[in-house]
Amino acid sequence: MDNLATVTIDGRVVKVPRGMNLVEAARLAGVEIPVFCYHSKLKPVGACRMCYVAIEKVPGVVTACTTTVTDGMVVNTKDPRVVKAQQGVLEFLLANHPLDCPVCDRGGECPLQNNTFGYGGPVSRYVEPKRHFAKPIPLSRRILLDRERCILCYRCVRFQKEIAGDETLTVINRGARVEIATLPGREFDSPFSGNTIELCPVGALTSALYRFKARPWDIRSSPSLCDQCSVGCNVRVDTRNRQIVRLLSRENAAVDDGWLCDRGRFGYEFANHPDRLTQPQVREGTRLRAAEWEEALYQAAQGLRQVVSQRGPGTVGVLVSPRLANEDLYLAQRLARAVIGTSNLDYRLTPHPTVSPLRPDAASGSIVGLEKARTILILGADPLNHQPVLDLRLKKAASLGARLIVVDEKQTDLAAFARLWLRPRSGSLDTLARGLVHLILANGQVNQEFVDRRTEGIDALRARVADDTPERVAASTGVPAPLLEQAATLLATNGPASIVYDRDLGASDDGAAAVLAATDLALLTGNIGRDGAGLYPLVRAANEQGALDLGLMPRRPSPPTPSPTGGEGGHAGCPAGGMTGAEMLDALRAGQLKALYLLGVDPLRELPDDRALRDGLTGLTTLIVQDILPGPAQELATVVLPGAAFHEREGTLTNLERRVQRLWPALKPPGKARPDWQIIHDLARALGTSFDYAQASDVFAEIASVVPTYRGLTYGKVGLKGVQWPLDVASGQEAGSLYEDPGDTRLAFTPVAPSTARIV
Amino acid sequence: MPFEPIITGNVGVPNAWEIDVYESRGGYRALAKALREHQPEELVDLVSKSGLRGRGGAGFPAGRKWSLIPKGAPEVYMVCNADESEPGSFSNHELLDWDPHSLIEGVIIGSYAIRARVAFIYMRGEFWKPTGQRMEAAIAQAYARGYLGRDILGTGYNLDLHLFIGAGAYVCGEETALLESIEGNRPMPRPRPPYFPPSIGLYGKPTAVNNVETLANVPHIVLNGAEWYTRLGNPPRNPGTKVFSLSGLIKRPGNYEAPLGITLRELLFGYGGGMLDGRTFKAVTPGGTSTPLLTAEHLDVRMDYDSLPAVGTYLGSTGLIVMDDTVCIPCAVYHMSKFYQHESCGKCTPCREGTSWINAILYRITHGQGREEDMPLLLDLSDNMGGRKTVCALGDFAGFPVTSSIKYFRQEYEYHIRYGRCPTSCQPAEERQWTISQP
Ligand SMILES: Cc1cc2nc3c(=O)[nH]c(=O)nc-3n(C[C@H](O)[C@H](O)[C@H](O)COP(=O)(O)O)c2cc1C
Ligand code: SF4
Repeated sequence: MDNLATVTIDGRVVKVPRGMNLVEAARLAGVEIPVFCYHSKLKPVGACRMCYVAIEKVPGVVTACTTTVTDGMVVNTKDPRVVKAQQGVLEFLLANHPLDCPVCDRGGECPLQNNTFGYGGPVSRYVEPKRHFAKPIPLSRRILLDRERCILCYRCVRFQKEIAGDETLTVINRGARVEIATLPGREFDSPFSGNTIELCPVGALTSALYRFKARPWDIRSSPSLCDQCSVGCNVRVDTRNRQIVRLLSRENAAVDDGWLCDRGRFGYEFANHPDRLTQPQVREGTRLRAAEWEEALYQAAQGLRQVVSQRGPGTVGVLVSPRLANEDLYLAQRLARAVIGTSNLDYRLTPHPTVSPLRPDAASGSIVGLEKARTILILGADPLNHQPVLDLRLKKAASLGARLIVVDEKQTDLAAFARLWLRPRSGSLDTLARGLVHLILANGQVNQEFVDRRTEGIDALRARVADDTPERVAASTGVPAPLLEQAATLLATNGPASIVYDRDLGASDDGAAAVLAATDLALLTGNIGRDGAGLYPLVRAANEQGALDLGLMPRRPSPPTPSPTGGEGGHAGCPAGGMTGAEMLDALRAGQLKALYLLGVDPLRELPDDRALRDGLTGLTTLIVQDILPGPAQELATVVLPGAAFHEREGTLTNLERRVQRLWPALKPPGKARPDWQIIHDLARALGTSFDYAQASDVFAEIASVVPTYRGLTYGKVGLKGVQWPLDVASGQEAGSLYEDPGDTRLAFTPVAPSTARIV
Repeated sequence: MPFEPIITGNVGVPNAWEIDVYESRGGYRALAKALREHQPEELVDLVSKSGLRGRGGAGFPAGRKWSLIPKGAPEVYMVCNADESEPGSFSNHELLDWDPHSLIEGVIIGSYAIRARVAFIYMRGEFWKPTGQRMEAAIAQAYARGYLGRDILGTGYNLDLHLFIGAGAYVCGEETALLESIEGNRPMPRPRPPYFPPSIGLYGKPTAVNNVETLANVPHIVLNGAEWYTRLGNPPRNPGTKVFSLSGLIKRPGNYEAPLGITLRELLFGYGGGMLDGRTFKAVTPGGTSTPLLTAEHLDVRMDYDSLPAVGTYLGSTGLIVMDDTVCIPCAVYHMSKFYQHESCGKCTPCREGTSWINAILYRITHGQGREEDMPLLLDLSDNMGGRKTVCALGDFAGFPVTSSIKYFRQEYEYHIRYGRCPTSCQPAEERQWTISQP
């Protein structure tokens, strides 16, 4: 017997998976069953009573959302009893509904309007006064609740409880007096609150930012990405009058599962800001004045040329934002390395963390792969704050049965969902991680087959952790030995297991050693290279992974310069050495840098009180600032170049799971602003190169030709859902997991003592 | 009366709630017998054979419910439903008040039968003083005597019993709402399927939910045998007795234990002493207000789980509110409708909105503003919220008094609508229509 059931819905015969509910089954059969409370991501509750159907041999009508298919079921969605009951439900819903559709944000995209149109009766028999509430009341500064419009489907409350895992919303009172409410004395302070606006099937929950801004029919929509963090949630940008009016989720099951966090959803105001830079500026004495592109680019090029020829390319620095697109980053590094001839190039201002020795330097698994994990070790990571929608995925994994082990001194959001929460004293993360390695070795829980076949260097590892006995580890970390035992046993025996940690963890001494031990744990237990078994160093910024992939830092392999366009810059090849961002800041303070090109970064915004840094910037011969909004460094700039925001351009971002995803232009850049890649291109030409990229896709094509991990990728392949690199060009398969194929190279346990393992 | 009460035998006995008194009257002997002489499955069989049906209203066979609990499930629960909130029903309350130990004994035997290690008594919040406090003391006594806790009576069986006091909502008596309440959630009933308590109950584990009176019968069946029980009442399908609560306009209101299958006439005129002097019987709620009314033409109907459905109503929780010729039926039904609009949990659209709407229409009718179209409207609304269209039966309950009263007393509604006043001397309450208008 297969896993399919055959059902007949309104005469259409379909085979659907057993256990599927009738709403979904009908969708597959091409039959619409109207719903309000049902949502495919939430548990069915059968509250709204809209989805009645009649089933042969079953008395009366039943709700489709709470009925699962059985083989041979015959369903009628148009039975007269169904029609009457649905008309009844709509009449009940509208009885107390204010019908203020003309001034309702939802008007025109409202399931209540649509279902009434499709299934409602012709008249209302309700003559009593309607229920009245003060309207609307703020649940938080972002979300307002109109209780008169609310039809009490409880989707919002269920989302918060089931998906967000907080109980920031609740239900109060009874009968027709029921209201959605926050807990007494608290506001709706969930970091995921905005999702409820989209879930709301009426205009009861509205966005303070969007209220009364637009009607759905005079909005223009475009696909895009959220650029607030490394998850890269897919969004729909809605614009009107050359402004973003809202961001909605554009569900990508692999990435965001249909959710956005509030930072992403409501964080677009910078793009609409009245102070957006719209015109290039050049310095004239103590002032900046507006200039045309030609003049500004000429001045920028002159300034760079002058410094290079007088003080050498080693006195020029380029700092880029890891939120810039791959196209920008790629051209920026080409400009720096091959045109200017400097390797003083970085995407970060703080020291680089120690990272896992495995290459490539990226998460080995996929976001959706985490759902397959039975155990997930979360080591010094706080996704709620840095990768919020990943936090939801980890909670989903937990609700699917994964055991979470949270290792963090702080009580992170995930600690409440964890099977085990280990709290090592600060500074002892390395000891704890080594203690787990020790335990797995000592308890004979090593995946010997994997270790023999795929790894090397286990003997050195054995020796290194020989002293990290549970007793000692417990004494120095404060984590009781039995908890350590349980954690080690879960990791080793309850697979597949994944390990998630903050990539920046490696910036501290104990974190660095912990990061290395995390790799050892994954290799020892054979937990790498398949769904559910992955090693996830979490990057933070929206295109930090792209910056790593494209070598936007010194002392890292960088993409080779392609011959057709790179030949004439005069600085072919990659100069050795180079300063990191942190080193460049030091050099600035010491007056050793003479020219600086800032792309989307402003060191003075990060370090406003750093006088020496300010003096260093003031002392620069040439300071080119490319950005979309004014910032403190611009006051010291010799040239200011206006860039485009994420929704005003084409380009790609690479998220924390190596997924290359596309940006689309929803609007033109304001005034004379241009996409960053184009500005770099123009500057390179002003410097005398023959850079020749007509559009962003030309730059991407070059990336795909010179960066091995991006081979085979095109904008077309990336499409609406993105592709996890590397693409298997032959099969067209994206790579859910790295290290799948044994190949020849063996995966190495941490080769050396941690203190000397710093990669950069 | 020729009838020996079974489960109300201790009602009225001084200090019956003290364990010594209870034991001196044969208490906890059934427990010893059950635990020492029976395997759990035998007890399930015994109760099945006795034909005992659930006294919570639906009359579901108790033994069958227990047999639905999956064998070998590692974690199962027994929950006693002591939420009794049905208007007109007060029989569980009296039993709880006088005889907490007989319930505890029944709970332990039932728990043993389904192999539960934890049991709950869910008691309505308003019962706390003194009933809940007595129950708490009784549970403590039972622990002290070794009837609860570890290794009960040396048999190796362990059981913990918790008293859970509700916060006061009618819907908490609905078994799945009750379980939500124990779990600390808002008591909104769960959809069945999939949440049938014997499969997915408390904390998602198989759970038997049984009414107080159902469980109070169990020790007697253990002691006297299934055979004995099947000869009581109206066998084969309705054996045993039931405690009927008589209230309203009747000479001797109160609880009366009587055999199932007793006629309505004997109950009202025999046990209840008949109507007040000079009055005539008009109508009664046979099972609380949540069941369709019966009238004088039904006096010879038998009060049991099968005879009442044959005349379009239910035994429910046997709360008989008696109305005589002085009662204006629309006004009485209007008062009942207030209860349902207040108690609907608000989950299902039809019940949440329909209960308020019905209440508003009845307000108009009883306050001189009825319209011709209101009666068909009431019937249609009741149809739109009844007939199992809602998650729990409250949606059906709310319509029962309305539809049955229109069926039997249509002319009283017509009178109200036509003349704008009451055909009886009944004064409609001078209250304002209920509206919601809140800050
Ligand atoms: C709205 C509503 C209220 C109920 N209230 C009670 C109650 O107070 N006590 C009770 O025993 N059953 C009540 N029930 C019935 C229970 O859901 C359940 O059927 C019963 O507790 C099962 O016990 P039994 O099998 O022993 O009868 C109620 C049902 C509904 C729909
Ligand atoms: S029928 Fe009424 S009381 Fe029962 S679940 Fe639905 S709304 Fe709640």
